[in-house]
Amino acid sequence: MAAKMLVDCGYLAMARVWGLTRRGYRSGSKDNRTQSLGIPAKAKESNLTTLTLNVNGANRTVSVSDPSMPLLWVLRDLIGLTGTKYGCGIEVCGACTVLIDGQPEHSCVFDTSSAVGKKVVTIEGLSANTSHPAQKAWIDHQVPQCGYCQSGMIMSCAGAMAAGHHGSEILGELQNLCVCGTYQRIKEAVSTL
Amino acid sequence: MATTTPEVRPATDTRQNVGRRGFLASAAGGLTLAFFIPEVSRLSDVEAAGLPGQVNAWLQVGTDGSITLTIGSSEMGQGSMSGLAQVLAEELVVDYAKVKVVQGGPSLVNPVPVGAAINTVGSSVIRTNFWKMRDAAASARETLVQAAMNAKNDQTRSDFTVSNGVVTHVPSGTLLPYAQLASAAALLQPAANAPLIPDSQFKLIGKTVPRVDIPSKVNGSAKYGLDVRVDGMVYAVIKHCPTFGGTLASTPSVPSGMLAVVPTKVFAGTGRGTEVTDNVNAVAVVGPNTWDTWQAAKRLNVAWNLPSNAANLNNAKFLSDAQTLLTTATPFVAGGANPAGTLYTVEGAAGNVTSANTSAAKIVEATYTLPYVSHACMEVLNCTVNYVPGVSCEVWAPTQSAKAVLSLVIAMTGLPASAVTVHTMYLGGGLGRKAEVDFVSQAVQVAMQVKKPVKLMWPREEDFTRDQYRPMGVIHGKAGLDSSGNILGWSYRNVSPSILGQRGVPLGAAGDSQGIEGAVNLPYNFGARVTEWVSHPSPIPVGFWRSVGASLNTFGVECMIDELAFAAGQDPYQFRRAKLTDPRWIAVLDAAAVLGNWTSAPPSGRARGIAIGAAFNSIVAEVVEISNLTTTGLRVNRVSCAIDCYIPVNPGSIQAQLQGGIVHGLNAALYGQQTFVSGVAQAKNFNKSRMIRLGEMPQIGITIIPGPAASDRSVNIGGAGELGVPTFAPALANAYFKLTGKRVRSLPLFPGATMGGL
Ligand code: FES
Ligand code: FES
Repeated sequence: MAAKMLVDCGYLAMARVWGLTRRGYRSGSKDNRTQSLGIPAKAKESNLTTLTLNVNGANRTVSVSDPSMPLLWVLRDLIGLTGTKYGCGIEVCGACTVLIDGQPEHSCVFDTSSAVGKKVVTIEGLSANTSHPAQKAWIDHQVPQCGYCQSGMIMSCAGAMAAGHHGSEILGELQNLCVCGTYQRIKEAVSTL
Repeated sequence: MATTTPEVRPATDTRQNVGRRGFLASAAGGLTLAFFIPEVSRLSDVEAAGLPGQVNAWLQVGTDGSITLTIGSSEMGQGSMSGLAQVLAEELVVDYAKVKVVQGGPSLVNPVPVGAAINTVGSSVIRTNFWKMRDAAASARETLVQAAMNAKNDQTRSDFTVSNGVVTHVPSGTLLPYAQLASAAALLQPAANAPLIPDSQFKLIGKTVPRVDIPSKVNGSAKYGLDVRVDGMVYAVIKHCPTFGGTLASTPSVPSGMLAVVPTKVFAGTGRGTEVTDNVNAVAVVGPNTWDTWQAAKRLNVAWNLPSNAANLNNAKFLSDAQTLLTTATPFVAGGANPAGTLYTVEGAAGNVTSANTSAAKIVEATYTLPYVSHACMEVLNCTVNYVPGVSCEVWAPTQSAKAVLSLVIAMTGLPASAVTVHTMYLGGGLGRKAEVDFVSQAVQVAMQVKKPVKLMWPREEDFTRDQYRPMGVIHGKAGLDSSGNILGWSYRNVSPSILGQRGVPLGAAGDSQGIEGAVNLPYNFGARVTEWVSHPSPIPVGFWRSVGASLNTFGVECMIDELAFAAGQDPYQFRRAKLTDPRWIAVLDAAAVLGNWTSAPPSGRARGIAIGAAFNSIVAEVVEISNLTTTGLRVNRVSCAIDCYIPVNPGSIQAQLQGGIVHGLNAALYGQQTFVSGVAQAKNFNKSRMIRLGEMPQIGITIIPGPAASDRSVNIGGAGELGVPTFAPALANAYFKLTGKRVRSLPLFPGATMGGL
């Protein structure tokens, strides 16, 4: 697959599309941009806010035009960590669950600026070599079907485990939606944790 | 066996080589596996010729002994990629744990070569490819053995054994790994009529083996359609006219910060019902990232022309139309126009039923109503396209039908197939919706306009409101019983919008095959029977939804049977058992009854219901046990399910699929529906389309009827992916009757149920 990771900022991609270098995008003359893009200058005047996040142990600096951009899209589009999923965008499904300072949160509604100074852990950073006990239990019990909900499911489970919970206590905290209906195997997997 | 003449690669194709050509020539009329698919040369990297150790288009043997199989099914959670790998590995006699599986691309060659993408619909992957895969793999194995025979200068096949990817020359004790034989084997004429491994010696088929895709699905590395990232990519978010049938009045100007607003039309072949070819029914806003683009799309004020019939696109109207058609539909006329509202007699004759019932002691009659239901795949529709004008087009899609994507892209771009690459990504659920290509056509239109790689996403609200829904249906059953409880005459009529009709398929005398699934060829002793289907005129787009017509008809049939059992004063299980004429059905019914403790009383406060049905060549029965009925819900405690799919290739996957299908059926039976007000779909997100969460999961037991000792290839292998669905709703409804004395004749049980946030 020719897909390559884009880092930094979605506007970098836009700058390329518009035939501008990143430098040009940031410092080029307003008139130029307006002409070349046919887009009101105001658009590109939008203030980019730069935020530094600690994601999976590394500092990542991103620039957002809309400071209300939820963490989910910063992770997926700007940082390139696509393991965290979009399901509903309204805090009903849990597909977007990540850990923030160890606490499961729904990144689809989580203000990115509120994550500054906190430790964000996504499914990609949960363990080296897929070695978290929840991940191992999920493999042992062959839990995923389509798998799309499982990043969020596992992060919720990992959050509960980090809080010192086991077995049925964890189950009570796994409210994520699985359209494929893998709940029985999740129960079997969690019973070993 | 392919009989297609291989096409010649373009002369500029550097992958062409003499050895291959010789092989191709000698392979003409031989095995499919021997073919390149020159026009569609993106089978996978594996297919790049000249790789040492490539035995054929789908089998690559590495010098390190690794085996790479190219598998063409879409993986949406059903484990069929693994299932096919299992079948291939069995016949190849290789260690399944060492097999690497690669996703194959689509091919326009017919029949589809082994390794090329196949349609992943109708629970079909294993059931329709089982023998084909085995033949191909057996041929590859015997070709490798032939290479060993040549190497040892010994043409006595019985001097050679095969185990774990190693051919042993018994007289000399020489071990010849496939890796050493592959290059020579690739130059041989593929072995014809290669013997298959006898069932009694299966090491993989019939065994639960781990799925190959699962590790990547617990660490975030699995790439779904929505996860595709291409260098220089921009993001598009779709915004449809909220009203079905509406069209764009004027193109809005580009919002600040955005790159473009692209009106998208219904491309020929992708529109259903109200969505007529060339209607501009949506705009795509294009911008720098998903969030900003989505917000711009939300804020965008778009003027739409609404269809003149919008006021008629209402549930109440659809229902009253259906009820009218239950009695007034005009019979099909061969060669006639047969517009919507036509009555098709699919089996039997109404007259015979009427006369059979004249002596009935009791007539039982009931009407059942089923709603439109959304697919609501966990992953929204999306597609990524990189179009280089006049040169190439690369598509990444979570698709159940890569071949349809390929044909579409060729038609839209005018590019030759060789310039088009289709990547089938993991699907975050398919459920039938991702067999459609409307979303692909939109992404291609946007890419052709912006001339940059673009990822198009449908926000969840668009996914719910622009679905091609499971059709609604109104079903009327009427049957006569004699004084001993025998059924004298059975009449069944289903009024439902036509899935195939909306796809331009002319309906013959038997109507829409999809609409009548689960209602015909029932092995019940019905006496006289008539099964009818009426095309409902509603133009709301409909489509294939997990288990398709069986999801409607098994409900109608099995609720009706239960009503007859009650009228006859008989136990619903015994009543069915006495009427069934097919021993396989009886065995499945018995197995479910045993698993569900049918003959012992349920715990207090609980009640059980039973149902049986067949779809996609499998027979499934379920016993559903429920309790705790309130005005907003009930508790499903246990589901006991038995299946006969003839050859259970991977029992663990079958179990998972049935569990998933049961949850799918449960969500739909209790809560699932989409409603329309003046052509606008009302449920826009999961909060308005309740589904169960983990705490509500029933305990599910599965019994799989074992495969035969020696399989007969003339017997159809059954599917599993959709089979949990059809029998759940009637078994639930029958349990509800037992619990409350009230029949459930309309689904869902709890319409309008909502789902709270987390
Ligand atoms: S996407 Fe965040 S809860 Fe559904
Ligand atoms: S595994 Fe598909 S939604 Fe959970």
